[in-house]
Amino acid sequence: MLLAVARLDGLTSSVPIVLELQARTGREVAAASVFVTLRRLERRGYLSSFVGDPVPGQAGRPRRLFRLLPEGLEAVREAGEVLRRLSEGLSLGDLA
Amino acid sequence: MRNSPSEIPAVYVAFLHLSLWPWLKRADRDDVVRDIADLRTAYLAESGSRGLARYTWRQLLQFPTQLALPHRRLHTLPHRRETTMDSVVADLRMAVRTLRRSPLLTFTVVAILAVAISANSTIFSVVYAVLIRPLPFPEPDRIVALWNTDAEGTRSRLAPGTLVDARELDALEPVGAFMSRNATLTPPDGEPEILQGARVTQGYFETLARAPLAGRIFEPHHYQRGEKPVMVLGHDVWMRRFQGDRRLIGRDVLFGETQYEIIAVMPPGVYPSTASIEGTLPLRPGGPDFWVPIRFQDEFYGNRRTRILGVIARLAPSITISQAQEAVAARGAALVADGRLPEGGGLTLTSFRHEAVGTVQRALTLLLLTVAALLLIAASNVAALLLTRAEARQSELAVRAALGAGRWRLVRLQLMETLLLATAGGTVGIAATPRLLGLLRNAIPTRIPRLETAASGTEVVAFTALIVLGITLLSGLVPAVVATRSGLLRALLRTTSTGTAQGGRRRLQSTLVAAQTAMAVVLVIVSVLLVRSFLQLGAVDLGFDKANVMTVSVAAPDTIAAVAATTRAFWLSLRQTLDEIPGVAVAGLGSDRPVERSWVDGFRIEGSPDDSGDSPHASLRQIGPGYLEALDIPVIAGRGVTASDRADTVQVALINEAAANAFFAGTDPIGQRITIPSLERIGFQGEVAATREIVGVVGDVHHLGPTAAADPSIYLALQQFESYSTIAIIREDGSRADTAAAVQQALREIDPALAIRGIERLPLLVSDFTARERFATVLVSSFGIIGLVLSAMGLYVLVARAVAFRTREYGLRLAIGAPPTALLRDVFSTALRPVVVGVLVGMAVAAPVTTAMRSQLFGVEPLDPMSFATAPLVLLLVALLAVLLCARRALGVDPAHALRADG
Repeated sequence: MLLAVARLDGLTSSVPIVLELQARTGREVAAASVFVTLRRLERRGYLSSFVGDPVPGQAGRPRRLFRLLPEGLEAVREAGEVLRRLSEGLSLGDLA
Repeated sequence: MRNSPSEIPAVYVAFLHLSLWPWLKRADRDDVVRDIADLRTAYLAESGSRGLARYTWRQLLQFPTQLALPHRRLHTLPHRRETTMDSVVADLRMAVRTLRRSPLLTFTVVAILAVAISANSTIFSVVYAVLIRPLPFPEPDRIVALWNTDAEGTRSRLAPGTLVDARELDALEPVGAFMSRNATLTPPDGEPEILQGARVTQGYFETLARAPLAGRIFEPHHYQRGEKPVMVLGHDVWMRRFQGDRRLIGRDVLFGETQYEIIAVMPPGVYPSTASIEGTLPLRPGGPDFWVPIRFQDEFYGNRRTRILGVIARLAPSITISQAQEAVAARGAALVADGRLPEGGGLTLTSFRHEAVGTVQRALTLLLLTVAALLLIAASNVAALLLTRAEARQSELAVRAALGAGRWRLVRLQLMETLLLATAGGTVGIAATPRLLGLLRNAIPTRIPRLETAASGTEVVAFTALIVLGITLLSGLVPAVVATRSGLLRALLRTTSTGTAQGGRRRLQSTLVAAQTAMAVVLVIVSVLLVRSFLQLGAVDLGFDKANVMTVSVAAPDTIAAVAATTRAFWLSLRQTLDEIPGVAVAGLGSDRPVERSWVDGFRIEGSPDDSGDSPHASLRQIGPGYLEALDIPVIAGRGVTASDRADTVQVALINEAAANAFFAGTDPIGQRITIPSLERIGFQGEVAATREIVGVVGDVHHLGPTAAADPSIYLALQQFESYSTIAIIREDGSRADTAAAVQQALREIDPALAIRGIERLPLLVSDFTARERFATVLVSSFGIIGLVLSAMGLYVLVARAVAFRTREYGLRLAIGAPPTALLRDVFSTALRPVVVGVLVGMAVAAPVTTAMRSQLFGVEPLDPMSFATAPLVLLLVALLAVLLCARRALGVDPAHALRADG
């Protein structure tokens, strides 16, 4: 999830994350899971959120935006590192 | 109407707000709505409008699910087919949420169910303890009781000779007998105490086949005269007086002047004793305090007149109770033919279980039916409430159906909610049961056998679980099926909640109200009948005045009891002392309380032919001076017993009116002489005369309660008899509050070795007669009232809904000038139709019900017009009240407001 936020330039609202995950996994993603997870990560201090400014041309009220915090970035790196070490010597193909 | 792509239909918004409010604040819910709208936009852009609704719902339904479970990893929407378990869990979760959303309805339903279920659990636990749980003997259903019958069909105990006859029957093996026996426990330290025990013959313990807790029960040689006195101790006394000491076995304990060797202790529980097999008083908790062997002289076993033995027996192997009954009846007929039993008499046999608990069986069955009716009222009430709720949920159900939820799934979802409600009600009910039982026991001091053992055990929990399932189906299924009727759903999708699809549903609701009303009518009729019957019972003149009378059982100290003459003098002086206590109006002594059965014996009237087989029988009591006065029993002819009737004067007897009418019809009984042959053998010192002169006729006393006829009775003068213990009957003059304490004090001062057994108030003893009736009346009428309230609630909900749905119509009609009375008429007809139908059906159902409970009624006909008129009237009044409350709302409708609300 943090990875997805990172991919989206570290600042995004939740729907793009859903679409990104859907695009990456090729499966339908539950917006509810994303919603819940984002809030959990926020509580843990990996993300911060704020209501963004109205975007011209976008209908309805402004979206809530999530920003990746340094701690979150660190967590992403660590997780990547762990995954890399775990997969060393295995031929699992591309690990993205 | 088409929504613009980024807009989102109101139904989704409503769903989200409703399903998420327990977890999310308004701002967060708005975020979710925003997100869903964006997702839909993205979906439209990629896949077009095809499948949009399904996609939206898939996303929507995930929100409550995800939020309800605090920690779930990111997961994708399920593509696999759901397992049943998954969907049941989902339904359950959904149900919890739905119920949380309408706390008032949830609370009301749970409360209604809790009341009905706790009533059922409580009554069931009583029924289980009293009727269903087996008696604590091996094969308890093979234990029977034997009775003498007379020409009128009245049962009495058996004479020793008849016991011998019964023992010859092959159908019964073994046969045992018992009679009551009091003994004074005189410990070296502590107060003497009168114990109520039993004398038993061989065969008594063998019939019960219950192993002692410690030691060994009587062996054949223990029943022989001249053997060392032995005793089997009851559990209660063993614990209370001997601290449950097992070393007591084999030791000697002083009872009165006699050393008894304690050879065994019996386990706690019920045992046949005189109290238990009277036909008037069922099993007394705890059983006798002790048992000692009967050691009659051999010739006493030839006596067929003195009916003093309670007899129990076990059916011989492979003999059925009806075969045994035939054998016993045949033997009875043979004895009558031989002249050994009086003409018209005979022998009969009943199951011991029936003797022990049969008297309360009908009352308890009635109670069980009553609470079942209450449960049905509650169930239909809940069904009506759920039906109302189903109306409010129609759009949600419609959406679910549109999404492809099958009808079964929708029904199941609603059943799940009902199950949750019923389980909550059941849990409260179970939790309340022990309290209610405690309340029951305290509120009704009664001798319902084994009532004290009632508890909410496994059986009660299982029973309640069954009820919960039953309720779920009863109250949940109908609303669920109706609400998901597919045609209806389609209609609902098109129309909003003010649509006309309500008609069918309201008809169903009316039917439910009618059903509730019908059951409530039955309950109320039964209650009114029982109350009237109970009042009639209380109004019966028992033949004595119970007010301000107390009774004390007194046993003379052994030093005095040893000599008959001293005992008599002692009783006279004791009576004198009691009489002089300040606050005592008059005191008298007697062998029995006026509310006890005494022994029945045969007698001869001098001058009539001596035919032992056909001799008349009457109950025998001994009374001293003051007895009749203390009880206010009128002397109708001749005189009562006075202090000048002594052992050395004319031996006198009094008879009651019933005896005068039965045996001296057309003649004057005063001055006639009667002989009671068995008296000759009863005197310990041979001083009791068998022949007595009748000196008076006294009023009848209903010794066995208001429902039993007064039996022919003979009263002997106490001073011309031998008794080591008596009952003091003391009437207070009402001038002092502490007379009971003064009596106790005075008795102590007479002789510290005097043994006293509890001071009992006569009104309380008399109320024991009607304990069962009071028990049933209080409970049934309480349930009747609850049923009435519940059905009134049901009616109120029906009418209130009807009025609410027609707010617009009423507003319109008022606006165009309809008189309020027209609206009122409308409201009334909505309400009264089901009530009137219910009342009529209820009365029709009540008729066979009350006819079936004829045996429970006293002095009231089953089809008592007053009861049948009262009940519907009460119900109609209650209905009227419910309707008036609603009508006020209907008339208070502001036309402008009503029209706007609907526009």
